[in-house]
Amino acid sequence: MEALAVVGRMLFAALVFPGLAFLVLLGLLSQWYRRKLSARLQNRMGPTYVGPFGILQPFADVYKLLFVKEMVTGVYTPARAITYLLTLGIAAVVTSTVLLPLTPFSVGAEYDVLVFIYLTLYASIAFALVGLGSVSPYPGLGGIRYATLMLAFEPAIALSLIAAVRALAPHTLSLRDALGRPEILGLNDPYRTLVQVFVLVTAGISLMIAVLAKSMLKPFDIPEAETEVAGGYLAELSGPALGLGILLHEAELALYVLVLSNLLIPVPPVAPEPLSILASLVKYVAVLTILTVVAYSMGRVRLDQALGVLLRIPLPLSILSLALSFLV
Amino acid sequence: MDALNLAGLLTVLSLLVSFAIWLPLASRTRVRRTDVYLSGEPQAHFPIGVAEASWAVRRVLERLYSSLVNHVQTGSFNDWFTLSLPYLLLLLVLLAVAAYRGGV
Repeated sequence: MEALAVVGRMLFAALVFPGLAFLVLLGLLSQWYRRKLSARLQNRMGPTYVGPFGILQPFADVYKLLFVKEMVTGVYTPARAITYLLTLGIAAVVTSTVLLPLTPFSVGAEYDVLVFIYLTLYASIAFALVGLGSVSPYPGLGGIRYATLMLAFEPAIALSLIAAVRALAPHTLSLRDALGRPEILGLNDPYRTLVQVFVLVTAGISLMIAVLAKSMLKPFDIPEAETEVAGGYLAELSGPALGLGILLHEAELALYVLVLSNLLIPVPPVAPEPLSILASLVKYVAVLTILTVVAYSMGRVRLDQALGVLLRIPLPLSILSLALSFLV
Repeated sequence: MDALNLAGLLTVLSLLVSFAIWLPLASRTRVRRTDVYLSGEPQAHFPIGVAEASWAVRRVLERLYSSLVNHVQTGSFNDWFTLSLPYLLLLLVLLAVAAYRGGV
């Protein structure tokens, strides 16, 4: 009975809050915010027609795609398998939110940061396989580009996350503890506090750049560059598959920004209380704004340039932050 | 609960959630497949076998290989070292965790 109750609580967390329903809502609202902010930067209007200030436009787009009755695809493209891959990516992303201490139902364990890294890998692999699974060369090219970038950004993300979690929860290496009960040393131990801040800043910068690449935002958006590969890795998809692709992208970005912002600014800690959740969302908006402004201030780089940037900046920074985290 | 059990439990939960989302979508959506345009020639004249299908896999592997060769295997030790160091470090972290958990 006890085990069933635990699974039931985890299902609630995975499907409602902070899982599927919350993450989809947050992701689509973030898409609207990104589109509005980038429009202001480029002297455009952005979404305006659906809802007040166009706030419901991303919801209308996804709704329209998900509930189309017919999916048109090439004769050799495995449409059902691609749809399932994207769904599995979404499921893994929403399930990993069970580790966030936003509800009393969250679960955790020692070293659960490795579980988080493992679960969020599904989304990246799904994106690469969706491109590669199509027979047309255009999505294939997008998939290959994404798989190549993965070689550089995935280790950077993993090492930075481990470093940041190690700085905040050195005894358990638990993401839930790092977010919910971070060990803030303060002025009692100025040397270790300085090292802790340095680890968080280096890991934060590394994570921000790697998350830009993982989410295919500029300047790393070559896998989905419409003008260069005729629509990128999603070019062959239509209807529900395309809607799921957009949902997975937004949910993954929302999850990473939520974790990144609360690791980078660990005060106040994440807790299942309204004020604490509000504080987490304020941090989320601040980091999302920085990411959006950085992304839309840059032009697209080629694949070899992107690899060069990722190998030169986030990877060494993540290694440095992990090495320094052992001094905390 | 330790991390390994948690990973197993969350994987099963992910599979359940994925089927709960995918099955209703798949059952209500019809897939219409469009033929490949072959300059007006019938599709039957161009059968695709297993050997042809492996072309895609070969192409992917070639692309990955050429990316690695062009940007990593440049003749400079530093380029190789920059890429391999994080993987080695990640492996070391995982080994350390495994050794610690196993009481070695």
